Amino acid sequence: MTSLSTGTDRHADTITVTVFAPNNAHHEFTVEATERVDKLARTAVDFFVDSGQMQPADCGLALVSDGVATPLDDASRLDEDGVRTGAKLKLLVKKPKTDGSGGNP
Amino acid sequence: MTLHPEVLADLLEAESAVARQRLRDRLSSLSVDGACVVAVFSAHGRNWRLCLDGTYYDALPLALSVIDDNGCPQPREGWPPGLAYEQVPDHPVLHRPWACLRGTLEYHMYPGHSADAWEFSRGDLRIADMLDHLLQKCGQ
Repeated sequence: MTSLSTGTDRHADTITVTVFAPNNAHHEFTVEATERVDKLARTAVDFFVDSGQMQPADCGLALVSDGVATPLDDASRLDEDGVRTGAKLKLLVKKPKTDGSGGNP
Repeated sequence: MTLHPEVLADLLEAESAVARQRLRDRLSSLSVDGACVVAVFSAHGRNWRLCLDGTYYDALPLALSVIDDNGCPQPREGWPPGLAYEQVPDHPVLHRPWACLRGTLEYHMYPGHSADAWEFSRGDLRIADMLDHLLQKCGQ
């Protein structure tokens, strides 16, 4: 495991990816290469919700490259799924979040 | 999570069997090749091949492309007239030609359809219905 004692070591373990919201707004995130897919998805959703780009929702991620979208397993590490710096990731809504006061029986 | 390959193969074959029966007068052939359903039909004086790719089904919808005899995806100029969505010819996420049809990957990844998530219709796949709509767009 790489030491976390220096900034250089940490930098070597990070990747910068672009995440696209459902409305195609996008933002670059710099994260640990070993971060779990679902954690990045939640971070991105929080960012886009805070910036008014989307409604709260449970989301997954798909890697988009050369016109092909590949879904990423929520539990996978980004580096295990071939996500590298410069990757383009699309948020996929799995289900919208509700506040519990709605009309679902 | 995608379907187990054997489950997917059975599903695609069963769906294709229904489509062959329903669309037999409008299709030249319909086959399952791995995770892809390939439909061949005639329109505008030539044969066309549509591919519905279920490689990542049902984590993702079927992806639509027009392919040549070697299975290579064709640029928009190689699509049947009327099929590609002309108002936004380059898909803003996938950056390739696409058709505006609910149930396809391209439809559900289009930013303007973000309220119509795949998750809400993933249990409703009917390949015969999809091909019916696609053929209509092609004037068939």
